[in-house]
Amino acid sequence: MTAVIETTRLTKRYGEHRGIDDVDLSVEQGEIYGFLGPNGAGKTTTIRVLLDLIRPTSGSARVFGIETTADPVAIRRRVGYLPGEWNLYDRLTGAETIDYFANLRGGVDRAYQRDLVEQLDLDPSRRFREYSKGNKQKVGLVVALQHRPELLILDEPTAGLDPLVQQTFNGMMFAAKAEARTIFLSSHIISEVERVCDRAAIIREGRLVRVDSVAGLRDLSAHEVELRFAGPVPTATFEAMDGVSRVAAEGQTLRMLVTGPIAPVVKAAAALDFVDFVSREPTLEEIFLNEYGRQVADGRGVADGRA
Amino acid sequence: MAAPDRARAGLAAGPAGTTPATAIHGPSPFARVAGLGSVFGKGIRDGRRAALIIAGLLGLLVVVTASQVAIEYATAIERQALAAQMAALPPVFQGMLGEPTAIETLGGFVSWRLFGFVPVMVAIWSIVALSGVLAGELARGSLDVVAGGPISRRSLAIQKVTAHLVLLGVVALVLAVVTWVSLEAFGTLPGDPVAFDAALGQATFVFVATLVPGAVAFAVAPFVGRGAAIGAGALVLFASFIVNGYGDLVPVFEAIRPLSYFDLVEGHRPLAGISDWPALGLLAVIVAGILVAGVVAFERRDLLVPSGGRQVVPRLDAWIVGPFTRSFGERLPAALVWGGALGLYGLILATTADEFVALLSEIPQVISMIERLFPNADILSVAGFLQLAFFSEAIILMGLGAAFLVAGWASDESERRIEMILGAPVSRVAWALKSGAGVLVAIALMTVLTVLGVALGAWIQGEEASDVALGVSVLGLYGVAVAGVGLAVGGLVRPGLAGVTVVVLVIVFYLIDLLGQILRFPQAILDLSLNQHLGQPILGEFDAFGLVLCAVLALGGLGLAAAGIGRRDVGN
Repeated sequence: MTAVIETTRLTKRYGEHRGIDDVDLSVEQGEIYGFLGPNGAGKTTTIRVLLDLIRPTSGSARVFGIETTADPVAIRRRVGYLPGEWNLYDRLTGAETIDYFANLRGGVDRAYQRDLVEQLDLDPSRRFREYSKGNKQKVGLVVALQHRPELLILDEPTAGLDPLVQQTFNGMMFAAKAEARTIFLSSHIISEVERVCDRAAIIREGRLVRVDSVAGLRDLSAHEVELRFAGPVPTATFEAMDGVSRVAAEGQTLRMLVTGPIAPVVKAAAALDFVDFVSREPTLEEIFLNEYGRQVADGRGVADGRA
Repeated sequence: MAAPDRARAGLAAGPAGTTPATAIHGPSPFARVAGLGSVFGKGIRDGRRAALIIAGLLGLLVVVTASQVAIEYATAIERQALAAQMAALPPVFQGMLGEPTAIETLGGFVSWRLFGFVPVMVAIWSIVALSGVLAGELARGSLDVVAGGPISRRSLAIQKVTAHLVLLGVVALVLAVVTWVSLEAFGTLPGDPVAFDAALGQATFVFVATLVPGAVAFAVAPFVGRGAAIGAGALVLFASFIVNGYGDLVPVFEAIRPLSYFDLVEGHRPLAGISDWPALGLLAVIVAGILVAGVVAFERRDLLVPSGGRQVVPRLDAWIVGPFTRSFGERLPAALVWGGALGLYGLILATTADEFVALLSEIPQVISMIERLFPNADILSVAGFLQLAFFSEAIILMGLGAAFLVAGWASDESERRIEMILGAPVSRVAWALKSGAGVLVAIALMTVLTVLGVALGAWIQGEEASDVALGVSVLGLYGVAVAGVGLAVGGLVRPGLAGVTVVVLVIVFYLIDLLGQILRFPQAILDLSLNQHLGQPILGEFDAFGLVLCAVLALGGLGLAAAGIGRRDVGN
């Protein structure tokens, strides 16, 4: 597959302040790639480097194989972008705003533009300053999508949207993917990434801590296992097993955290007299919190995260 | 944020942290007064830098003026000669500073030459600050958050206004102290030193007079929005200043002169030995009334961003074609207002010029003096009058108009519109060149309106309108030149500095022009003012070097802006 976005040891510093450090990303064509991280982790900095709004301190970033600092206009011609924080002209109406950006690009299909406005249930006749936050966000989405870009870079795109419009947005993402377009979606809302993304990178304090498929992220993580026994609880048996941690007995129930393959635990339980077995797959949110929580608790550096 | 980072930042750790969380019991007394402990404290904190800079600049001006007068006019005879010369000048030569009173003393001179204009300079700050305390925050959305807290709307507004009053009070106090010390230090003749209460009385005049247009801007801002409020404040300021300054020359102005607040307090010049406390007190009451009306209006009105009323310009597809037309379209309403006001001002002056010229022609001594001053020019003409009465003052309005437009251009970046624009296939350089050109064209439009007004007045007077128009159009070159510097600073350094740079430049040029000749500044300093290089264009005397310099500053500034935006990170 072709890498649409590729960064190598991408670093941006703001004087003494951290931006991003040694970020290595590879986003393939046709995938929806989630970029997860808490506020201030470096998501927006990464995106702004990709669009040449800011220049890297070191390392490199390529979009469509083009160095971002070499020909940013050629890149942006093929990109649809929705910033995380933005503003537009108070005096223009929604329709004028959308048309302005269509004019800046050229070649926008009016029918598709109208279709987007209808899908998002936007009233384009009102002045931009009169819009609510959600309606402003809808204008931004139309601006980003209206030219059917090969690559969509969306920074917190669903901020301010109600659940119904968020569903519509998800549908738009899937439609774009069906047309082999690529989406780079930055968010701190894990459920959003979980719903629409194929792969996700987690960034924390400017460094990538993990990159994997959404399913892979779940598989790599620990399962919460609960075993109920008819007789005495064999705590020591499970404590001695590899990949098992946080073993806790409560009455005749034993709870544990299993990292990696779960089969050995199941076999051990079968050899004993267990009456019930519950294994719960963690949500991405739990993985995310677990990842951050563990690193804070360990006080250790970040893991290598190569896409 | 990791625990060590939290500790570094001085924040309390959360439940998972390693350090125990500490409760916030309440702000410290200092935070309440000048920090983040109250709305008032934050107002002081936000405005203290501007207040200190303004106090410093004003203090410097007083020191330079007082010391220079003491050096250049060291003897009583020289002072008397200066006073006689100034008193003999007809009002048009005295500028808009009113009748010279006791200017043979250091205090009288400083009061006349400097304190006549200081309230105008400081009022610009007051207008910008007071128009933004509620309307600016409302537009940003931060007011919703503050008003959502346990604080009444009335208290919120009062605290914000009080913060500005305190800052302005500090500026006035610094001005009083520096003036008193300067007159004590540089005064060499009897009558030069003044009592501190005289300096304080003069500073009180600055304090009150400065607040008038600021209070108007504050009161109307929640209804019309910040931009229009700035316009309303500026209108009150400059209309009052001009009507009072040229009341003796222009019958129309004379008729409406009592409406000018400068006229009301003209008799209050404690540094010159005269005071009119009742008039100043009345003005203070008027200011207080306007501020109270503003607070009450804010308290009663829904907390909504004003819609801005009717569209000033028609909706055209042309405004959304690209960065150039968008920039021009955004600047168009302001350009129309500034240009229209300048044109109207020029029209009024031009249509009353014949009366002034006829009056002047009857005084042979004045004619001979004028001929000595302007040997090659027909000063006893409508054009001559316009050169003296219009050009020299319109230049500051043109400059401030340019600053307003440049600040609007810079807001594309500071208000984060640029991020959306540069998400489209538009290069940074192309955006800067095209949007900057939109600013320059808006200034050209301002100039066209100004030229039309003045030329129409000249034509009514039977003057050759085309010559006058050509001369007045030099104002436009000046406008694009100072705008070019602002664009360059905005592009190379950061957008927040663009408009401020133009304002400072325009005021510095004006002050060098105003004070330089009389204080006998070295030629090298006089040459720093662009105003000195424009010739007397309405009289047909063009300074080729100055005109080329203006063009170079405009186009060079645009190029530098593009180069700067092309090189640096944008939107940070």
